[in-house]
Amino acid sequence: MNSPVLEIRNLSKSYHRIRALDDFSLQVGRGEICGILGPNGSGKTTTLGILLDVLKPDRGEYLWFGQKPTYRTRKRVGALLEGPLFYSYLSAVRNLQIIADIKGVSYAGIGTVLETVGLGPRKSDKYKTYSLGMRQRLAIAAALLGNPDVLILDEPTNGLDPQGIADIRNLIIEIGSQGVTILLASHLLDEVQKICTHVVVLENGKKLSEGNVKEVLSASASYELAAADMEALKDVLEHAGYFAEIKMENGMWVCTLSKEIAADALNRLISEQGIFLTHLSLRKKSMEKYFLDILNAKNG
Amino acid sequence: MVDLFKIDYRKYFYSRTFWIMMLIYLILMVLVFSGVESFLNTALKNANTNSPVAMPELSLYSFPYVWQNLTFLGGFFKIFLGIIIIIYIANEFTNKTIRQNILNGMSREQFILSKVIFVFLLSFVSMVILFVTGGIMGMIHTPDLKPGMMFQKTGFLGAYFLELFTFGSMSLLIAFLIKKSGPAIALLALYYYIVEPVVSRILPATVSKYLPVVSLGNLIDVPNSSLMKMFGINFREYVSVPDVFISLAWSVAFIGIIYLVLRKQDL
Repeated sequence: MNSPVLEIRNLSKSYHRIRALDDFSLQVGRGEICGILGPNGSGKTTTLGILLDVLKPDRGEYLWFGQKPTYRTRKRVGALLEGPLFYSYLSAVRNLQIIADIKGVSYAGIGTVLETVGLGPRKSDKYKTYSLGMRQRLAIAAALLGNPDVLILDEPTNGLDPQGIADIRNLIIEIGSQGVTILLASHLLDEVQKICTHVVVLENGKKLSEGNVKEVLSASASYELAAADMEALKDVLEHAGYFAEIKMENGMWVCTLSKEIAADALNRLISEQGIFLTHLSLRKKSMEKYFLDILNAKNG
Repeated sequence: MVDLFKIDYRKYFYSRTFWIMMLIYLILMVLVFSGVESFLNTALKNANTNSPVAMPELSLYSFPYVWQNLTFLGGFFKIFLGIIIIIYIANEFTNKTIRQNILNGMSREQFILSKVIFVFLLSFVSMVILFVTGGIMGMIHTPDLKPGMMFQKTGFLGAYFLELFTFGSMSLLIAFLIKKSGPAIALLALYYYIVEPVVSRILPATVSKYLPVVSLGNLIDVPNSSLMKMFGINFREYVSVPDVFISLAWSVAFIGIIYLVLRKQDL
């Protein structure tokens, strides 16, 4: 891993008797898009709140850019935490001017970020006249202001309509491709799958799993296979040594990989046994499957 | 400092409610300042008709007495300032904009300092308005006006500023602790009008003079009038240094407590 942008060491935090975060550690490298995945109340927002100094941890520490955090390091981080928070009697532009002043950046970027999130035409209207979706867009604009090195986005697509969700996801992917490090908390599995390069799974404040999204999803992927003689095919598959599980689904063998094998190699292997496939397709694991497997593995 | 002021100025300057409340406060104060003399004299005239002794007319506005008279009177209006302060600080908590400020890169100390600057400026504006009103009234009503007369006993203006600033700091503390404007205003009023007056009567005067509201009241004593002199009552016509220190100590304490509370708090 290149020099980590963020290093979290053994953070713990309780609210009264509830353990919100339990000995949580994580490293996020430059340019990663790291998804923090977990059910509601799993400690995602608590983690991000601590990283932004609005919450104080009971134990543990974290480093931004290899340094002890101060308000100055926070100026390099753009954040959306638990929904939009703005002065209701001020317009979008005036709200962002306050944020620009706090961050110490010029007002020049305000127009751009408002255009980016599609609030250009309404930028002079008061915040209190905005719909939920517009408020969320403004919160994203606020996070983007001043071209931060790191973006922290807590449930960024909350309250948006389908078009808005697609727009914002594309925007996040685009910003990530420019080398901005992104921390994205979400309970939407599909969102993390589409956007993130890395994923951390949290439950009840504990880290259950972490990894590279491509790797976790291709590991234990499965093939769908069919041939004229299904029983003979099964025989070959069972002896091939690549599969952990073989089961019938919709008239096809769904074979979960225990070991990596490419589709062409598998095809050759089967045809060498005198069986010719009528169907072959690689079924990648979805984030949902990955997530449920992890939760099941822990609870079972 | 200037940056912090700029940030807070943006928060209040475009709020119509803020200006309406400030204008009500200042206009009410100026109206009372300019009307109080004729009001009192009318009351005296009525009293004179039934009184065996003739009561002399009061003159509140002549230099240098105008300063003690008006600053004493202005002290009654400080609750307005307290309410404005509480409303705007509690708003930062109820709308969670304090969160937004901190996560965007403001330190907690800077947030507190920005609010102290706010209280400082409100107190300063109130003092300036009082100075202008008093100056005009003084120039109109002082018989044989001499240059420099206007600036005699202006120490009362400083005391007035300190009274407002300390009271503002107390309101600030209540807002930071309670975080909701309604209950915070209720607590401020309860403490100011009931709790401390009761407690100060129970405690011996040597102790009660150190209580915040009592010590604020002591900064500017009841102005002497010819009427009171007639009855042989004599109040202090200067600002006493120990009282200034007690008030200063309270404002430092209030702001210090805010710092200690906010430093470790989840927002």
